[in-house]
Amino acid sequence: MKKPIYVAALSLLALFSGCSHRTPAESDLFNTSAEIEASKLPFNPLHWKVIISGIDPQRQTMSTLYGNDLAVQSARAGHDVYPDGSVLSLVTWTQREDPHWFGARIPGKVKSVEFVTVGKDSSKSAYKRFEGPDLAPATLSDTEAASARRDSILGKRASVMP
Amino acid sequence: MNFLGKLTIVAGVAFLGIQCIRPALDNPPVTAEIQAPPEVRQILRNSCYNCHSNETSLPWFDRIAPSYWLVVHDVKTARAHLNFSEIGKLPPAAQRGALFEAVNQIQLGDMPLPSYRHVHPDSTVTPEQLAVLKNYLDPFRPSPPADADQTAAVDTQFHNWTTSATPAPTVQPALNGIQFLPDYKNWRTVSTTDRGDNHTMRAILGNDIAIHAIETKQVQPWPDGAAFAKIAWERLSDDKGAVHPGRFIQVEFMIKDKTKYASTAGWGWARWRGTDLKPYGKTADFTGECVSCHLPVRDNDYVYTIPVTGQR
Repeated sequence: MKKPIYVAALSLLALFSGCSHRTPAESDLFNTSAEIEASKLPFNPLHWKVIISGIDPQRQTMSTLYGNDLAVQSARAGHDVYPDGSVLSLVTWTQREDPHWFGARIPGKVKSVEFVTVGKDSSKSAYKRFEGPDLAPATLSDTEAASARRDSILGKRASVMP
Repeated sequence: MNFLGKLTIVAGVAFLGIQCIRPALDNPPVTAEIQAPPEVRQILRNSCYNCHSNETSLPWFDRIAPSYWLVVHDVKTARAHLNFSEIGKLPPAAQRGALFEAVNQIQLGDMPLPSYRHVHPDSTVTPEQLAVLKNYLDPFRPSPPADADQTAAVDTQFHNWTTSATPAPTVQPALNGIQFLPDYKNWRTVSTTDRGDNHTMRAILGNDIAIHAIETKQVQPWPDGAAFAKIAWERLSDDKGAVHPGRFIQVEFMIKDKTKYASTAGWGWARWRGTDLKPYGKTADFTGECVSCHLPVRDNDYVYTIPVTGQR
């Protein structure tokens, strides 16, 4: 008759031990690998509000478009042209598997941070690009490529957030 | 007879007595069993079916009270949550969602229940078996480009959103009384997620208290007043294979208050669906779903999201 009591006691014990707290690893609490070294940038885009996000499954990257207040207000009102003084920033990360959820991917490492500063004439907005985890300023000799990136960023529509 | 002897007899009689208290546990008919390849079903059968199906078969030691009572309670709870003998009557997306939740609970070590694994070590899902389940679910298989209806639905939502006054003044509180926080969209971004399991894209935003907690790395536990908003949109592919947010699906909140929300793991949970922001669920009990799904990350104060640092 000892075994059933033993089994019952064990199952109770197991039930309670399931409630004990384990201190998670630092990497389970903070995604430091995706951190942006903002001191290397003209602005920290994480201080701004989100406009829209996107995914490139082929390159396994995900990006988020942030904007300063002027830009966000304009994008969320559905305006086609950003007002003078708007600044947009597209941050692109490589993706990694979410260790907490099979079926999800989350930001891995920063791949690039792009800025578009809108002047009086939005077609002449300034484009800047910082590359790699070190955020090295990229010198774009190809002005066509730069303006294509700028137009792509300016052309993104805000995600609906009721 | 000494005291210890008497106590043993009393305990023995009591032990035999409680054997007469036997809550019923029968096996209802299998009506809509899961459809999956044999290698997947074999794993589910071995590790899950004893509680999550109508084919429960208890070994002798599970039939002895008081452990029998625990087992009956566990089986009934398990079947109500996920029943592989009846799962086929759910819509395909809900079936897929249930399987992903199951695989994630296995991966996080919560299923089979640790207490069950102690007495049924054979039920433990091995890493090889987990890989079989993951391969079967294959969350990031390429999806076909969005059709015209899906694209039109986003355009309509965007048009209505940009031409109407926000926030909608008529948003009802969640059924547990939590008020909608229309300012969530102006909070900072904690992370974004690409969800292949349910074809959504998500942004997780945090209020100032949450962001400050991330900056100062004080999240064990999160401070009272910290709040998250998780926004979900459809995940739509274009004809070049790039993925964009489609229709807005829902916004969910987690609001920390260890005293006020002590009965729901220290967090207030709320969800509004659709652009008309309809409160989720039928009764205030919907929070049970939230807590049970977040239970595997209780050591992270019930937060799945891993916040991106560098908010300073």
